Amino acid sequence: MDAKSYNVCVHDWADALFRFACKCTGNVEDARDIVQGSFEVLWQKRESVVSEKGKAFLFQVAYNQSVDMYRKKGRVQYQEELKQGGSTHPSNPDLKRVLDKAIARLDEQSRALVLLKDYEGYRYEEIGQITGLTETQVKVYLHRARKTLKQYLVSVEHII
Amino acid sequence: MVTWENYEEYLLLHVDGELNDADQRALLGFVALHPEVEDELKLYQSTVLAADTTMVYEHKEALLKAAFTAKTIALGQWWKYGVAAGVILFVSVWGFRWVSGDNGDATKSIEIVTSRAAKSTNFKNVEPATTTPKVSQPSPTISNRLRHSATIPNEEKGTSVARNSVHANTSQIAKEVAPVKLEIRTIKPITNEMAAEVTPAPVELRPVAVNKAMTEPSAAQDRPNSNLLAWLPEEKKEGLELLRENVDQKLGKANQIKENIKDTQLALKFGNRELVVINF
Repeated sequence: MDAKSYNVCVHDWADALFRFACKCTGNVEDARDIVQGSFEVLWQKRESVVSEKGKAFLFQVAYNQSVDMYRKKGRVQYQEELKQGGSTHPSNPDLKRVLDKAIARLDEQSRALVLLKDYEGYRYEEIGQITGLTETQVKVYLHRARKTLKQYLVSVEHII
Repeated sequence: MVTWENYEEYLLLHVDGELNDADQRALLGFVALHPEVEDELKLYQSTVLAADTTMVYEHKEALLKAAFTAKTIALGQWWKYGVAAGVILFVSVWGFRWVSGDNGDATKSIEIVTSRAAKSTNFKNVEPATTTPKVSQPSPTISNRLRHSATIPNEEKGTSVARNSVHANTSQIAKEVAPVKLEIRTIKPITNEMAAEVTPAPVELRPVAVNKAMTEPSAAQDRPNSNLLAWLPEEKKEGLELLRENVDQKLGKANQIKENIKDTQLALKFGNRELVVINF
């Protein structure tokens, strides 16, 4: 990857990476640090990263950094209402707010799997490459996270 | 095949978009047969997160790196500059060599002088030196002196005149270092001329000692007892010694310069190619 391809990656994936990092860490400042660190690593490793794998490499680094940050700080104080939005369903504010709460209740790894699946549309195999899990593990953890989210939505609907 | 035991997994795979077309049709058929499953499917579909595209990273410019773009170099222009520089360097080197070549000749002449002077036991034999001013002078002076010496009737008077001329000329020699070397180089043509001038008058060849010393300096050097330096007073000898030391110092410097230049190589390279190599 040359400097031109790197700059293309910045333009194409910086926003997506920032959203992913925001949802993973629940903190905008931490998300900025993760984005900056991820692109710094990509620049340092640009000789060994092909342009087509740039996005996956960035998300892999961002995922690892968010996990490290999670382990370093302990359980992060997840900000359910991010200042910059982070809407899951802009057309339905109530569902969006409930889903934000539901996402915040997930563990770090499950949250990352849901985000990679829903935000970026990665397949199980690709998510496994990013997170270091097997395809079966991704499938199992992701289905478990979906069931948790569904249960939360059902419980909220009952309360409402 | 979708059953009540595995329908939930099919629903999750459908929500994640991981079902193939056949499984997709099978699931939708199962849902059509069992409408109660449709609500569960909608619940799972509502867990899918939609990215908020209004959330953007605001500092992209800080992440960008300068791209190194290749520059097109007009090689023709560079070749012109290179050729021009080569010509200038070539002319400069040859000019330098030309100048140093002149210096080299001067050094050689100095060497000739010193070698002859060394043979004459370090200027102890002054006869060639004392006679050389006469030789180096224009022909009228030489002829006058020869005529003057030729008018002396006997050998003793001639020697006294010669002694006086030695005393008169040693101080002049001490002042003129460069003429000494030039005079030795031009000794033969002048003696021939002088011989031609002297030949018509046989009597004028009486000052044999002077002419013989001029034409055959080695013979004069081989006669230590006939050394005119012995006639000189001590202060004149010291002056000649001082002159010899100064000449030796200059010769030493000249030889040092020659040695420094001798093994020098000057090369003009363009890239890996050597265009001009000059060995000194």
